[in-house]
Amino acid sequence: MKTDAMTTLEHVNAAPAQTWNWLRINERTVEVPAIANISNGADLQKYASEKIVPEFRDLLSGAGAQAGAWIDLAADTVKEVRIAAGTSQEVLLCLGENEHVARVFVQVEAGASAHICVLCFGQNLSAHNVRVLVEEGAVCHYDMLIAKNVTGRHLESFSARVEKDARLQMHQYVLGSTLSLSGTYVELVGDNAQLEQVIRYMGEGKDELDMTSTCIHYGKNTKSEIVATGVLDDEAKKVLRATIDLSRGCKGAEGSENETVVCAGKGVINKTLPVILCSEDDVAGNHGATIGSFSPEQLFYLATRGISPDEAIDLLKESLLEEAQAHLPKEAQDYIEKWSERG
Amino acid sequence: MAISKPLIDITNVTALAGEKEILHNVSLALDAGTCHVLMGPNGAGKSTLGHVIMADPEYTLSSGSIAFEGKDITDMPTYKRALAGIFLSFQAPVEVPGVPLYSFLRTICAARPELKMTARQFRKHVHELADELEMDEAYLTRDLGVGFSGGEKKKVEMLQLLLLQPKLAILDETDSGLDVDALSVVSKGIDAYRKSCDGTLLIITHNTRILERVSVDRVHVMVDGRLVDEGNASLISRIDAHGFEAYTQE
Repeated sequence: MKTDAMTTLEHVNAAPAQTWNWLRINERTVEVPAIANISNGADLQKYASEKIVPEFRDLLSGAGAQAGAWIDLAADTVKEVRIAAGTSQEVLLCLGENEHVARVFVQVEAGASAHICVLCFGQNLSAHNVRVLVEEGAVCHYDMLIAKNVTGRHLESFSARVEKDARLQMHQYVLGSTLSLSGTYVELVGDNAQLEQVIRYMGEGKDELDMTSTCIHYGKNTKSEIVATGVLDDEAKKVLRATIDLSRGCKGAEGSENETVVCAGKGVINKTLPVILCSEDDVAGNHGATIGSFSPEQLFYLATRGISPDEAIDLLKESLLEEAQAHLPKEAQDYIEKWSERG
Repeated sequence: MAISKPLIDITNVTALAGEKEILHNVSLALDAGTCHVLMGPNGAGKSTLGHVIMADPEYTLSSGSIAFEGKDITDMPTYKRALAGIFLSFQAPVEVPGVPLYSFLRTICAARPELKMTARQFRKHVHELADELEMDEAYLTRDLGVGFSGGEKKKVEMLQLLLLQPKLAILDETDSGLDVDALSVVSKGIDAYRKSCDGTLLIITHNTRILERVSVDRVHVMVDGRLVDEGNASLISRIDAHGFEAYTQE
């Protein structure tokens, strides 16, 4: 169904609350192969709706409507997984070799446990749109890795609805890719629902990283924590938009977002848009960002352990790789090992 | 009979922080395998001496020299001094977000060929040391120092000391801010270090409790950036009873 023509997806990774357009941080566009008979991005949504499993139709796509619709239509892999109440299951997806674009629906029923892992190794364009329903008391782990030395582009879209007493834990490792676009959208709809999101990233050379994370609190006493840590070297560019929306009725909710980025290269461009939106009185929202390089105190400390200033940046990069490797489930680790051996 | 050279030989060192002279013509020699205590009132320059030995760029040497194992290291950068076998335990260890403690430990170990071990051996060794220091192993996966209590930070310093087994360990007020239990753990760590590698210690403190479990060879007293007294371990109890008044009134 695809042609060699290209189409432009608009409003990709858009921040819910936008700032000055001249800052060029609100959202972005991306060129993708056009899908036959669909002339522009806006029309994609019309055709994509029939590809969506009914239970997921009112859940937004993390990277935006056009990006989500394009992935849904271009998908060469489709997974529809229902994890029965009280059971647990792993869902592993490896993109970039035989499969390139995936549309995934996971329903984690009450009290069930899911571990979704998406690995991206593509040397061209790969993409995935994962939608998850985490029902009452269920737990869902979502891990995503864009491997180091990947030369292609990757588009990630993830969205989830988390119900009462349910928990979503996300670990995203963006360690390679010339252009990586990552958009996540999470609704904490039930009371006591929780989100823990860890984003680790690394940009080198002329890598471009564009990430959006949005969490909307609806339920009472809901909790969200978004922690992003990264290192940018050479002429890498990065945008992170993190939004916590404490909407009316989410009494007792707590949300925090924090980013620490080390800019090692002189040509690095780093942009961060941390936003807390609040429509309820009895809530707590915090955000913070630490941007810079190692402080003289940190460099001295590392040097007293035998690490030179040049090696300090390598330590950060190595730490990211090691942590990613150690965190992923065994099956994913084995896959990465085989991929690395093939060079 | 050949006279053996001291492990570290600090000769007539004068050091400045900015334009202010902090250390004045300090000389100190420590033999291998010995335990020294550096005492003195607040602001005497004790920590400065530790940092100067480690080439902290905050300080400049206006005169004097430092030799380690007979080699002049006065102009040697910090990381090379560390690899040569000098270790400084910090009073207030820094936080390094983005570097999990375990990765950090693996990296500093890998930088020293003499500590070469397999990944499995390393994992086992680190977990054993963490147990010995009654340290929650969950800290190993957390970013270095981030969210650690003061006591946990000091335990991490001890963990590194035991892992790296340096020839010379300078412990800069490792006891400050610790409760009785944590102090006991740190004391055990110091004891374990000496037993494991017969290392040389320079303990900077103004609290004698940490010394209760340590066999001390020499005690040095610093006041106003000068070494003003030296003696055997009995000096500790004298200072414990009378404080530093006798020195500050001179």
